[in-house]
Amino acid sequence: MPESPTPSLLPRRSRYFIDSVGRGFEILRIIAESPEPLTITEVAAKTGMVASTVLRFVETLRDLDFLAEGLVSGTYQPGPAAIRTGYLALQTSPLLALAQPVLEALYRNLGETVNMAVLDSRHIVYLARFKQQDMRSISVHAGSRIPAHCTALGKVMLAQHDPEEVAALYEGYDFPAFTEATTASLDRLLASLEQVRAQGFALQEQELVTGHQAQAVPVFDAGGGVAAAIGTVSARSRDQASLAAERSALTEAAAAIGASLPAGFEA
Amino acid sequence: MAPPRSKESKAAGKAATGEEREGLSRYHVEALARALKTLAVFDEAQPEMTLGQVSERTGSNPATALRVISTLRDLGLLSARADSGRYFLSARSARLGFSSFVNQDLVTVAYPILRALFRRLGDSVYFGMLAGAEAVDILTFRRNEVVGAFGQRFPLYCTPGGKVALAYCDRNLRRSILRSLSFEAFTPNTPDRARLEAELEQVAEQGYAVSIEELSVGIAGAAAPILGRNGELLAYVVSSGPTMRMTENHIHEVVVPMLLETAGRISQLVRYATRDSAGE
Repeated sequence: MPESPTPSLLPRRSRYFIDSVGRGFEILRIIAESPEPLTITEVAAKTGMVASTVLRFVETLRDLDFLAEGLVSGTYQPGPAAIRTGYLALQTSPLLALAQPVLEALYRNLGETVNMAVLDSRHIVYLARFKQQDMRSISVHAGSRIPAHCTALGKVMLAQHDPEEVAALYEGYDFPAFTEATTASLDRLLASLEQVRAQGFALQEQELVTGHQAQAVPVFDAGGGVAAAIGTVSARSRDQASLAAERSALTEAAAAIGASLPAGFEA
Repeated sequence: MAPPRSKESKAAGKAATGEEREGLSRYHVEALARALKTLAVFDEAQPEMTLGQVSERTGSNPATALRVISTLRDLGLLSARADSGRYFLSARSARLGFSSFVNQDLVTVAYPILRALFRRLGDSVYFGMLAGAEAVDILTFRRNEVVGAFGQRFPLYCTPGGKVALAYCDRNLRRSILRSLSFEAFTPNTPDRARLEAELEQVAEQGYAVSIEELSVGIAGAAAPILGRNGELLAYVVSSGPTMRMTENHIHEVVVPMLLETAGRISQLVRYATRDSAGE
């Protein structure tokens, strides 16, 4: 693919990259994503780093309040500075400020749960969600990060990238399967992305949660780069006509958000 | 509590905990510390900054600041405006605040409620958490200022937020914190160990804490805990101000009931928000 307007999916390492900073944030991510506070030994096992190295990083993160000691002494969890940074990122996001009223109107018109997310390597990060109250099951909050390959939001964003780049990103990836329908191999993912690219949206049935139907469309900046994705989730099963109507509402909303994003927009 | 804490008082707070953490720990990874400080300079008052501003606010020279910014951009934590080139916290860095147990939903849920409390009370409102052996404010509502500087740390034994945090935190954690505390008398009214221990029992019983001129002369305040589904301490909310307005009577008649109502509402909403919501 020639000069893509969307930045590469693959990890970027400028010549200035500071390795120890990368490792520190890797440790922070592992601790934040664990369902319970972790010990130094557990972090070392998950990162493959030596315990004494992990300790130095953890102490630094703790000095600056990005980590705090858990209830059990010797365990660590995200600290107030991490929470505050995440909160400020949402609170001050130019994209979210633009999108919020559009998404809210969409939610009111459709009566379905409406989400917005950005791509973060093999994951998506939710930025906003307007929720239908009657839905149960897994918990999704703004800031939460879930695998891109099994979500409509993730697929519409991945589909904007060169298939070879997607293949490189997922090389050696152990695809977690959440339901019977999850796209759980690279071949299936690439085939699914090709279809998404051709049709311009992602529609998927119960890949993350059984019984859920999700649709998503990309949000493009003025230069044609994909900045984010917006989509709906429903616990109800709808007929083709209402799905199509919902899609045109989504496409219109995506265009309204994208119209204010300059070329080369970074979310 | 109200007065902005200078480096000296931060050091005093640290020294008061009796920990070997004079300023920075001996394990410090300097480059990582610089990167974390860089993220922390972005706030609501100044969400976008030039390289020069970042370098000035972090106190590093421009070349160092640029290396740190480049690394944070590579990691997807900082973005740059296409028009001005100014840097801001990327949308992806929202994930930093997310975890399964301390959720930024707490802050999101709490924010409008705290702002309403601030408007009703007219005195400063602080929302904070326990971090190690100190209380750290996450949101600050002060007169003429919506959200103030982050990361003010206070000694636990002579501030209302600190006393609430101590009274409601896990028993083992409390025991170890109490063991590590050395009590510095900031004012004639700063509690000593015996008084603090007696007071913590009272705080747990009545559900709030009051401090009158315990850290600074002329400043008083009260605090209430925000509790999770299993009664665990999530955060605390404080209001404090000059003793001219914050009289004992005003604290008990006006401030405490409003704090309890606010903390109760936030606790309830957080429990609701974390109970069930839907994924894609």
